[in-house]
Amino acid sequence: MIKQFLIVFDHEEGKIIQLVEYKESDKEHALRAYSEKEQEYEDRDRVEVVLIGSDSLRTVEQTHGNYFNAPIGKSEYLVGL
Amino acid sequence: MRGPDSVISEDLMAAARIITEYRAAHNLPLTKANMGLRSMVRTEQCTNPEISQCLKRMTSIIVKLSREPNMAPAKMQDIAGCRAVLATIDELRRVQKRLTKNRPPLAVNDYVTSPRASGYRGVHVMVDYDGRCIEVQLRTAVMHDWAVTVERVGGRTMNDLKAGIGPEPVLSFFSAVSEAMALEEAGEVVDTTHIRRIGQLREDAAPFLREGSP
Repeated sequence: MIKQFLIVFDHEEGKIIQLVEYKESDKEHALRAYSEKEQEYEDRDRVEVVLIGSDSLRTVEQTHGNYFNAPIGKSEYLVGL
Repeated sequence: MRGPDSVISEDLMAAARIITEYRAAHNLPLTKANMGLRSMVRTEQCTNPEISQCLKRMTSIIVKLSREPNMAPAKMQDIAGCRAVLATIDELRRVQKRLTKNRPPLAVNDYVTSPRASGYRGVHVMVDYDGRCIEVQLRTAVMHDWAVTVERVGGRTMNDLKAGIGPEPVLSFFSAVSEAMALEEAGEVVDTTHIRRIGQLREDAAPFLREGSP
């Protein structure tokens, strides 16, 4: 089952400012919300709106870790970045 | 959508609607690609695979179209993408083989054999699902570690590092790091000259790695 996660990430604050989860049956609603949210933030160039589909938020935290606070840069060469 | 003199342009609004609808038409094929990939990694008995899908952001579509005047949305191969993070290069190649056997690809970009100048590594397989081009990105956890870090630093510093755009010291640093990570992933030793070079490049890049750096 693929849920949709609508994420609004503020690069200035360095964090997610909105996260909405949609059930698989709500994917059309999720798509509409994606476009609406993009328009809402179109003048904010430090804000990124993205719609990611996966089985769980935990998986999204792995595949798109750049939006989450979990430490990234596990390699010794990337630690502290 | 704003045109000259801050007047909302009907043409721009119409164009945005067309692109939005075109993007939306990829959603169901993208979900099928996601489910297909999940089935393949199960068949290949991959260790802890992580798979997600994503429809390209409108701003990214517009930036790409403006950078490449001859590009039409219908020619863009990455409007809809599915990403799989796998444990090893062996798993990656097995999944790639199964994917291309099941669905003869429209194109394959092998950035493991030939990394991008930025240092990006992965294999991108463009496949057709229901008449829509879906980009399947295959990465190992090591490649993904690098890519996610570059993505985060790029976002923080307002540089499109993934596309090779940004301060030269930062690009050089990440490129050298990618080389080292690739060597280690292949079971080879990174020599001390290379390690020292990475250390120096990191120092050179430091002023540019802070938030909002030029």
